[in-house]
Amino acid sequence: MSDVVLRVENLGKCFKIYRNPWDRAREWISPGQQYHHPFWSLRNVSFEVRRGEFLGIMGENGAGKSTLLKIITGVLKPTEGSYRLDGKVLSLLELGTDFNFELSGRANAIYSAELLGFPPGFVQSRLPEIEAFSELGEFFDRPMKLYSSGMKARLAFSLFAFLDCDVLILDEVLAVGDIFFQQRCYARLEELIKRQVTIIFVTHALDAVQQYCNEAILLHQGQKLFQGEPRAAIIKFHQLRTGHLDPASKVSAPAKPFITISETSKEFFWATDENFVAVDSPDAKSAQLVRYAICNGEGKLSNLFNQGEQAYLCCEFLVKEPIDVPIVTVLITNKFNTIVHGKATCHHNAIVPAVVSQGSCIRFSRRIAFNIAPNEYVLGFALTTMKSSDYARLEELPQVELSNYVKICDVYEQVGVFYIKHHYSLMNEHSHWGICNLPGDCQVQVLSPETDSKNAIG
Amino acid sequence: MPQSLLFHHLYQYRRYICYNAWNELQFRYAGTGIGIFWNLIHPVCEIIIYTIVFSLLISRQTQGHSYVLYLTSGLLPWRTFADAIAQGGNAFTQNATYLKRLAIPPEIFVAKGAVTSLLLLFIYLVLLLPLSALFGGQLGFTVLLLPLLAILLHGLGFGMALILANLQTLFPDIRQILQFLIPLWSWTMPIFYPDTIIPKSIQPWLYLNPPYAFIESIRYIILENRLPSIQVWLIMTTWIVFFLWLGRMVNDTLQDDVRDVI
Repeated sequence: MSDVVLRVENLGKCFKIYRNPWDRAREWISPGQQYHHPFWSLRNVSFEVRRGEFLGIMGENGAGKSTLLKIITGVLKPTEGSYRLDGKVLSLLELGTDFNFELSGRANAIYSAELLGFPPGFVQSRLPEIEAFSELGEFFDRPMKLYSSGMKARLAFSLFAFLDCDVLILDEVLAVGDIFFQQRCYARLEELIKRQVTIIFVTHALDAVQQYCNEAILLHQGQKLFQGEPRAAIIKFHQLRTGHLDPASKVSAPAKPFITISETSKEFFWATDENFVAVDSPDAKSAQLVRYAICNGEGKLSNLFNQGEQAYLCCEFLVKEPIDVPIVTVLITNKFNTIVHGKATCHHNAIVPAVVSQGSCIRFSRRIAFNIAPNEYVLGFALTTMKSSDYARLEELPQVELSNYVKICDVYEQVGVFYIKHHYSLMNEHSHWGICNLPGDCQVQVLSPETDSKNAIG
Repeated sequence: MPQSLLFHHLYQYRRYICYNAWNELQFRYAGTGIGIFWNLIHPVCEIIIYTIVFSLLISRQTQGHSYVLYLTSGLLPWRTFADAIAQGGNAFTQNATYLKRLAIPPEIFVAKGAVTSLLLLFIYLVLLLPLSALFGGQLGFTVLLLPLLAILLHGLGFGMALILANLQTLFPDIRQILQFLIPLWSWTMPIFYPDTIIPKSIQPWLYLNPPYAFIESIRYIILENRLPSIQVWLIMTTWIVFFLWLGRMVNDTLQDDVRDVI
């Protein structure tokens, strides 16, 4: 038996767009004439998946992800190319579509399995496991119309996780349920992987891609833009989303420095070239952002950090016109566009030159501790400038009028994305609830009325 | 063309089709107070209206049969047949959520519509037989053939609905056309009016109307305990084979296009 469970070769899908439905009939009666406008939803996509692999598929909306999956599951026929599937594929895209809301969860599990092509009675032996996993309790025997949407999804996942298949296709379903259910879902997936089940994961939860997938595919406008390591794929995806990657070039150029500097001082942290991400921003006014890096404590590119973890943020600007005192600002925003953190070089009292000539390069490096809540964050950089005379008396300048003295060169609000994950332990100085961790420490003292209590626990 | 899997699929999904057909019958009027009984009230009202209208217009032309029984025995098969066509024709668009995501053959939804209507006709026939005795019908052993004729009629309905379901998905206008065409169709053959008012010379041409032979056969079993002639059996077989063949061909040819459009 071959190790490759799914082989996709030059797959392409073309949808015919008719302006009027009857144009199709006109096409039938006059062969050779074309009244439709072809739309290639997917083209020239080839890849292989081996048994026991966890493949992530990413892409913007309309990139062709669902078309690809529909072809693999057999819903759509490819226009060109071919695919070979050794075994049974189950797709959680089908999640609950075949559920009959008048029936109980148990009856639905039985009928769904049958509809998916399992022999009658197959699911009977799995029912206790499914029931236990879904944690539906007595709802398992109640009509599904009484279920909440989370319960429906839980039933669907539980059912799919206990049906036999060779390839399991998942989409955003894991976003349902509380953290504990999600944890058990991921644990179950790992178990399936060990049993040589291949999992294909389509998601926007990129942290999950990074954590679980062995490989990731990035689709863009129906083309495979990238296939490889999830971390690299995620960075490509972010570059694509923020418009800093030209999809035409397919493989973005390695992030090369445009000035070779012989020596940087030991104190100055600067990531090595291979850890940089190139940024494509040709329309910059006076300061072009060339590349950036989000590195962990070891200086390796990463975008998944533990709460409280030390990290380095680096970026490089190419100065297109002479400017005065440069001020570089780091901006971290969350999904509600709230600025979680923003700090400029002047806040750090960093040493900066009075003028920067055209064609020079500004390197900015920032050591940071991510003492913020587990979430997804967007990183941005900005370069502003001030006259050196104004900069010298920064303290005295009235705060409200500060904007009159500062000239904004270029602002890059969406450069990169990173994730902060939970610490699964409460006994950690970095864990906390709420938006941010505030520095400090605490002590507890208990005073009981009877004894002289001086033995407080530290 | 790849080998057609139509009948294989129908067999493979037989449990699903039958189970869901029964379910649909139960829940078609879900939420109403008397639920499944609406299936009976609608035709009963129709029968009452036509009886009143026609007993005023036409007096005693139904060859001595009670007009109520004459009408009922023709109207009920026609109603379920038309229902199979209308429901089956909508099957793809109505079940788009399934067809978009599941790799199940779409024809089973058409089959589900046909089976639902067939079950309804069975119920009607069971209720009709005691009524028949009341209104002077002559029942005999030929009633045993009624289930077979009902199945054949809905087999024809399935074939036609399969064609319509495919075409309707690609050309949504067809749905609008059907909405007035189906009621019109019922007047192209003697269902409401007595067949005696049609000139003898034209009567053989009625068999060109595919469902006519089936409905007539069912009607005369109930009215006169009369079996259809060999010729009528031949005509019925021809229509069924033709429409199942055509339905299968249309379905095989258009299925990929239909999947793309849904």
